[in-house]
Amino acid sequence: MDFHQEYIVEVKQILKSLESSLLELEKKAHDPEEINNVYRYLHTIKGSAGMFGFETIEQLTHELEHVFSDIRDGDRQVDHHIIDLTLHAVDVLSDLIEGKDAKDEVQKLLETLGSATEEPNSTPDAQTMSESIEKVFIVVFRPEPEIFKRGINIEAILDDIKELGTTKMYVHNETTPYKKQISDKKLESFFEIIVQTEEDLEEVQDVFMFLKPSEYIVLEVLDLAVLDSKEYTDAIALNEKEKTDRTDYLTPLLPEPKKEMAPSTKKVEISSIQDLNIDAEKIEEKETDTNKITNKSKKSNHINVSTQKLDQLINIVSELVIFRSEIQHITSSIQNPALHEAMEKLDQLTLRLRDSAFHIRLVPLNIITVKMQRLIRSVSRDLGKEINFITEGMDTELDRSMIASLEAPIMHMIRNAIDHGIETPDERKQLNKPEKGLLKFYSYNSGDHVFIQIQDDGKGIDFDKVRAKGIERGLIDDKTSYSEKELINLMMSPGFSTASEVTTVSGRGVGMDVVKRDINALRGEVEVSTEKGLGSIFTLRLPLTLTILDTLVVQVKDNKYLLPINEIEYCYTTPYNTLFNKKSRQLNHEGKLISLVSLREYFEVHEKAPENGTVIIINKNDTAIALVVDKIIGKLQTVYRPLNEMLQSVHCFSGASILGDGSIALIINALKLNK
Amino acid sequence: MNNQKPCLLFSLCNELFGIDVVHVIRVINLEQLMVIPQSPDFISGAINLEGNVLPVVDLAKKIELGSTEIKKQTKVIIIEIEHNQETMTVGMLIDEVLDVVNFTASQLQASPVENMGFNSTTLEGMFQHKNDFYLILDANKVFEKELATLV
Repeated sequence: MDFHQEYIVEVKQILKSLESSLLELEKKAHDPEEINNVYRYLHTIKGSAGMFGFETIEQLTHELEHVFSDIRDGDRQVDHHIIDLTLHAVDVLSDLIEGKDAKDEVQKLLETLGSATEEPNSTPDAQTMSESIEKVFIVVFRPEPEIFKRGINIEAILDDIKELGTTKMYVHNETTPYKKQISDKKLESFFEIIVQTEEDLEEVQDVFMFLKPSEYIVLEVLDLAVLDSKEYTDAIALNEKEKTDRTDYLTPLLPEPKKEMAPSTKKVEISSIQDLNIDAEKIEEKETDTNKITNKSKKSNHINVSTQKLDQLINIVSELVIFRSEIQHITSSIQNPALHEAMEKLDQLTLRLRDSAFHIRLVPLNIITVKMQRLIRSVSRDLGKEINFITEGMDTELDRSMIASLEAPIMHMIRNAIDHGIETPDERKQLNKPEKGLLKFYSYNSGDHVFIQIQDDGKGIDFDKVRAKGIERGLIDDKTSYSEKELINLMMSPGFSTASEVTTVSGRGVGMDVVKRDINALRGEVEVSTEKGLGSIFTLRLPLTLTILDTLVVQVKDNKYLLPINEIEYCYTTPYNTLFNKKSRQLNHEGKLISLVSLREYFEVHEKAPENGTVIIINKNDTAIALVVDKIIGKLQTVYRPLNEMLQSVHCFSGASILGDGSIALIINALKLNK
Repeated sequence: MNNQKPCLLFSLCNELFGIDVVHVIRVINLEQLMVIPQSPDFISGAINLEGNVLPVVDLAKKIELGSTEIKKQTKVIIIEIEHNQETMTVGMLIDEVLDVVNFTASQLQASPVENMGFNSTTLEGMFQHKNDFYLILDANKVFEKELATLV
C-alpha cells in the first residue's frame, strides 16, 4: 500500500505540472512544446491510473488525451473552452485522487467531452456493486522458502488479497512474527485467509499469478463441508479448536451476505484507497506502539527518509572528508606519534562514514518489482494476453533517485512489450510458440554502468510497418532507404506509434520518445535489438551516479584530471617528441593503429611540453584510444559528481570529483576526445 | 507594502547592477576556480560548493559587457533559477556587493535601450537609489538560452 501512497503523491505532482502547462498554453496557444507536455502528463496519469485500478481517472484522462491528441495533430484548436474544461478536469482529478466523491462532476465532464455515450458500459457506477453478491473463499498460501529469490514480495500479495474484500488471516507456524520472517527472508509460516469478496475465483487466483501452483490453493466456500474436503485437509491440518473457530467465522457469512457490506471493492476505486488506509492502520496497530512517522513504512526495521535529508548528510560527510585532509596537511609537520596515530584513526573512521553514507542512497532494483508485476497483471488482462514474467539481477543497486526516474520509462517499455510485442495466445499457438509470452527483465553491473534489459519473445519490430508509418506521418520520405538503426531512431521520435489501433494501454505514441528522453536525462542510453518473429530486447545503459569511482589521477600542466581505472588498459612513459613528430595522430598499439590525443593539445595548453609524456591506453566498449598526459599522480577512490546542466555541453568530461584539498578534478570521457 | 521587492545591488565592470534576491542563495569569495577546457566561452570555470561542482559564469561576458578581471576581492553570487520545475544553480562573477534595498514594482523604470554597450534585453528595468541608477537584471533572461536546453 505504500506504493498507492507513492502513486498519489506522484499524481498530485503531475497534476501540478499539468496545471502550469495549461496556464502556459493559455498564454501561447500554439506552443507545440506545451501541447506535447500536456499530452504527456495526461498520458502518464492515465497509464498509472490503469495500473492501480483507478478506472474513473483513467477514463477521464483518456478522453482528455483524445482532445489533446487532436490538438497536437492540428485537427483542433486550443481555445478558452478547452483550457477551462481541462483545468476543471484537473480539479476533479485531484479530488478523485484524494478520495473525494466526484462522480457527478466526472459524468458531466465526460458528457461535455462528447464521449460519454460512446462508452456506456465503462462508466463506473455504484449500482452494479451493490447488486453483486459476495462470495467466500478460503485461500491457503504456502510460499516455498526460496520465494525471495524469485523477487516476489509476499507482503504485497497479502495486501492484494486484503484488497479483494473483507479478509481474515490465520498465520500458521508463527514462531516468530511473520513480518520479521519476511524481512529476514526466512519464511516458516504459511497463511490461511478467508476472503469475502465480489470477485470471481479467477480474480482471486490472479493474485497468485507469479507463484507456482503448488504454493497456493483457492477454494470457494459454498457450505461448511469445505472444511472436510480433501483439498482443504490436504493443504492444512487443523485441530478441533481451530476447526470450530473456522466454522464460527464462516457460518454467518454463508447463508446470505451480511448486512454491513464490505466497505471495499475493486470496482469503486475511491473507497478502495480508504480501505487500504484502514488496512494499513490495522497492521500498524498490531505492531508495537509505533508513532506516526512509521505509518508510511511497512516494515518496522525500515524508515522512510527524504532524499533531501540524505543529500544533506552526504554533503556534510563530503565536507568532513575534505576537512580531514586539511587537518592532515596542517599536522603533517608536527612530530608527535600520538597525534599521527589519532589522525590515522580519524582517517579510517571518516572513510568508513563516507562509504556507509553513500550506501544509504543505493537501493536494489527490486523495490519496483511489485509495480512491474502489477502493471503486467493489469495490462495483460486488459489485452487478453498471457505473460510469463521473469526477473533476474533485481538486487542490482542503484541510486534511489535514479530508480525513481527510471520507473516511468521502464513501465512504458513493459507496457509496449506486452501491447506491441507479445502476440495473443491464439496467434502464438499458430506460430508454435508457447501460449504464455515471455517477458524477461534483467539487470547487471558492468564496469561503471548498470544495464537493464527488457526482453520479450513477441513478434519483434516490423520495420516495414515502421517505415510505412514514418512516411505516413511525414517523418521520412518514401524514396530513401533507411537502415534498421535509422528506423529504430525514428520509432523513438515524438508522435510516432506503430499500433494501428488506439488502445488505452500504449496510447498514441508518446512512449519510446519519452523513454529515450528520460534515459538520456539520466545520461544513459537506450539500445534496441530485434528479430522479426522472435522478439525484441530493449537495453538501458545507465551510469552509476553518486557512486564511488576508482580513478587514476593524471596531471596536465597544473590541472589534475581523473580517468576511470576500469577503462585503462595500459600506461607507459616515453619521450614527448617521439610521439608527436608526425602530423598524423596514430599510435601503433599491439599491431593496430589507434588515435593518439595529446591532452595538452586538446585543452589548448600552449606552453612547452615536458620532456617525457605518459601514454595511457583507454579501452572502453571495444574502442581504444591513447591519451598523452604529463604524468600520473596516483590512484584515487573518489565520489562521482555530475556536472551542472550548464556544463552538459562539454562532452569530453563525464563528471567531476572533489579532491582531498577541496579542489575540483574533472573526469575525462576519453572516447569523446576523438574529434 | 505590496510587491516589495528586495534586491541585491552590486558592481561589475564599473557598472551598477541589481538582482532580485529570490534568486540569490548567497555570495561567497572566489576560491579555487577550476578552469574547464572546452567549455562555453562565458564559463569561467567551476568551484566546489559544499561538495558540488558549480559552474561559475563570467557575467560580464554573458551579457556582452566585456570580461571580469579576477582579483582578490572578486565575489561570486550563487543564484538559483527555476524553469519548468527544474532548478539550475550557477555562480556569477561580480566585482563588489553594494547593498540590499527594497523597492516596489512601480519604482522600477524602463531602462534605456540604446547605447548601453551590452545586451540590454537581459534587464528587467532600472531603479534609482540615492542618485545612482541600478540596472536590474532578470536572471531568467540572462540564462534564457541555457534554460531552454534544460529538459
